[in-house]
Amino acid sequence: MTTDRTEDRTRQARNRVAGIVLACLVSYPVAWCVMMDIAHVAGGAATLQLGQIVALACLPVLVVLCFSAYAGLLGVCAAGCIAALAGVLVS
Amino acid sequence: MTFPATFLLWLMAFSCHARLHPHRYGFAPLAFHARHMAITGRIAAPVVALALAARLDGVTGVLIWFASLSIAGLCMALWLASRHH
Amino acid sequence: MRETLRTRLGWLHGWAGFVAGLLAACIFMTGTLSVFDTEITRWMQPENRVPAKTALTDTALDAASSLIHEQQLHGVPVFLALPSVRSPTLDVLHYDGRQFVGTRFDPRTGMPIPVRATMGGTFFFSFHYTLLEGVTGTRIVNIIGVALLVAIISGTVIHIRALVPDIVRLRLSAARLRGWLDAHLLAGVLVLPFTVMIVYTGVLVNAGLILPATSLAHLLAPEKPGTPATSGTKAATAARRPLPPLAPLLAIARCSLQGRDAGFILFSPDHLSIYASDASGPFLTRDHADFSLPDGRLLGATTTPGPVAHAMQVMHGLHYARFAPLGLRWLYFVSGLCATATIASGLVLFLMKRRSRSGHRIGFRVGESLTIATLTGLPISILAFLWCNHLLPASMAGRERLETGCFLGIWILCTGHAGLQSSRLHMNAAWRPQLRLIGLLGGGLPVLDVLTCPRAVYALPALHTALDGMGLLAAATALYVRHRLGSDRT
Repeated sequence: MTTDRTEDRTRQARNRVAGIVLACLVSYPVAWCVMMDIAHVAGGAATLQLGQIVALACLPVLVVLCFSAYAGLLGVCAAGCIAALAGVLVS
Repeated sequence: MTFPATFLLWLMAFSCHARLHPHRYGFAPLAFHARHMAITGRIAAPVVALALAARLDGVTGVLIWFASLSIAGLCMALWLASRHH
Repeated sequence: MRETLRTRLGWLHGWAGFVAGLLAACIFMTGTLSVFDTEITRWMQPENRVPAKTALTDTALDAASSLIHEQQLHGVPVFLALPSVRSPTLDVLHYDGRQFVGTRFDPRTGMPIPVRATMGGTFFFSFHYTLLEGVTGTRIVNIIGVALLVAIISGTVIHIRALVPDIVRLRLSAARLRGWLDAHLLAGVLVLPFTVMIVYTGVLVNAGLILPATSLAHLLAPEKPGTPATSGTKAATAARRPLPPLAPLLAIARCSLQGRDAGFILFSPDHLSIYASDASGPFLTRDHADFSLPDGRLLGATTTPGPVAHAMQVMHGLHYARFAPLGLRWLYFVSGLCATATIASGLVLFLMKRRSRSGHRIGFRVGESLTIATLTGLPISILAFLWCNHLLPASMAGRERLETGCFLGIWILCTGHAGLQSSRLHMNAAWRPQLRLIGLLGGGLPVLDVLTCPRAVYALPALHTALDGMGLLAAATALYVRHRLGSDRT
C-alpha cells in the first residue's frame, strides 16, 4: 500500500516536471510568434515594443494554461499554429 | 492630503467588509438595515477614494489609490488579529 | 492521489515560487533599497553636506564646464548631471566600466567637494537588475521575473475563492503553519497590484533580452566580436575649443522641451545634448535638445511621439519611480517591503510544509541553507556594506572595491554558516545567530553614524534619521522573529 502510494507520488512528480518543461517549450515560441506578428504588421521600433508589451503579458498566462490541463496545452498549440501561419502570411 | 483621505476611506471599506463576514472575523451578525449600510459603505468608500485620487495626475492618483488599499488592509488585518489575540 | 487543477497549480506555485523566490527575494530587497539609491549615496558620502533645493549659479556651471573641456581633451566621454531635489550637487561623471564616477561640485560656489570613493546606493541598483553579472545577470533577472508572474497567476487561481472574503484575515493565535500561510496570503493579496506592476514593468525594461526581435536560429548562433571603438581619439582631436556658457543653453532647452527641467547634459566632439529630467513626469523619456559646438546654436529637439512609445515610457517611469515625490517614494518602499515579505513567507512556508516528510533529505537541507542565506545572509551583508563604508578611512585607495568585497565575503560566510548548521540538522542554530547579527548591525547603525559622521547628521538630520531608522527597523524585525523562533526546537 505504502509502496504503491510512493510510486504514485513519484510518477505524479515526474509528470508534473515534464508538464512544466513542455509548457515552457511551447509557450515561449508562441509568445515570440505573437511579438513578431505584431512587429510585422507595420514594421518599425514602436510596433516591436507593442509586440513585447503584449507577448510578455501573455507568456506567464500561456505557461499556466499549458501546465494546467491538456485542453490548455492543445489550445496554446493551436494559437501558436495560427500565430505562425499569420507570421508567414504577413512576411 | 490625498493619501490620508484615501487611506481612511479604505479603512472604512475594510471595516464594512469585516462586518459583512461576521463568522470569519468574529463579530455579531448584522441586522438587515445595518447589512445594507455595510454593503453600501464597502462599495462607496473605494469609489470616493478613487475619485479623490483621480484629482491628482493620472498615474500618481492610481498609485496612491492602490498603495492606500495595501496599507489600510494591513492595518485593518493587524487590528483584527490583535483583537482576537 | 486524484489530480485536480488546484493541486496541480498548487505544485506549480510552490516550486516556481521557491526556485524563483530565492533570487526574487534578493532582487526585491535590493530593489526596495534602490528606491532611495541617491539618498543612500548621500548617506555614504557624509562629506557632501549641500542642502536640498540649493540654487545653481553660473560660477558652478563654469567650473564644471572647464573640467568637462579638460576631460574631453583627454578623450574621456563625460556627462554633466544637473542638481535636482534628491541630489543637489553638480556632478561631472564618466563610466569606469563598473559605475559612474567623477567630481561633485557645490552648486553655490563651484568648488569641488572632496567626497570619499564609494559604491553608494547605485550598488544596490546594479545588484537589483544585474546580480553583479552584467548582461547574463539581467537575463537571469528577467527569467526570474517571468517565473514570478507564473507563480503569482497560479497562486491567484488556487486562492481565488477566498481571495475577497479573506482579504484582511490574519490568525496569529492559530497553528504556526496557519499563521505563516495567513501572513503570506495577506501580504500577497494586498500588495498584488503593486507586485504585478513592478514585476511586469521590470521585465519589460529589458524585454529585448528575453524576447529579442531576431529569428530563433540567430539566438543559438554565436555572436560576432564587435569592432573596437575609435571615438575616444576622435573626440580628443575635435574638442580643443572651449565650451559655450551653459546657463543660456539650459534656458533655451527648457523652452524646446515643453517647459521640462533639464536632467543631464551629454557632450560629443561637435555637439552637446540637454536631456529632460526623469523627475519631470511619469513618462521616462530620453527627449533632448541638441546644440552645436563651439557656438552653442540650437540644432533641434528630439522627442519620441506615438501612443506605443508613450506606453513604454509610462512602463519605464512606473518601474524606476524617478518622477515620484518623497511621499510616493515611501509608498513604493513600503510596498516593496511587503512584496519582499510575501516572498520570504512563501519560502518559509514551502520548507515548513515539507519538513516532516523530507527534513532528513540532503535536498531539503540545501534548500533551507539557501533560504537562510537569502533571508538573513543578504540583510547582514547589506548592513556590513554600510558599516564598512563608515569604518574604512575616507582617503583610502580602492575603498569602493573593499566595500563590494566585504558585502560578498560576509554573504559567503553566512551561506557557509547556514550550510554547516544544516549538516548537523539544527536549523535554528543557523537562523538564530544570523538574526541576532542583523539586530546588532541594524541597531548599531545609528550609533555608528552619529559617532563617525556627527557633522553630516547635524547638517542633514532627516536623511540620516530615515536611513538609520531603516537599520533599526531591520533590527527590530529580526529580533522579533528570533523571539518567535525561541520556542521552536526543530
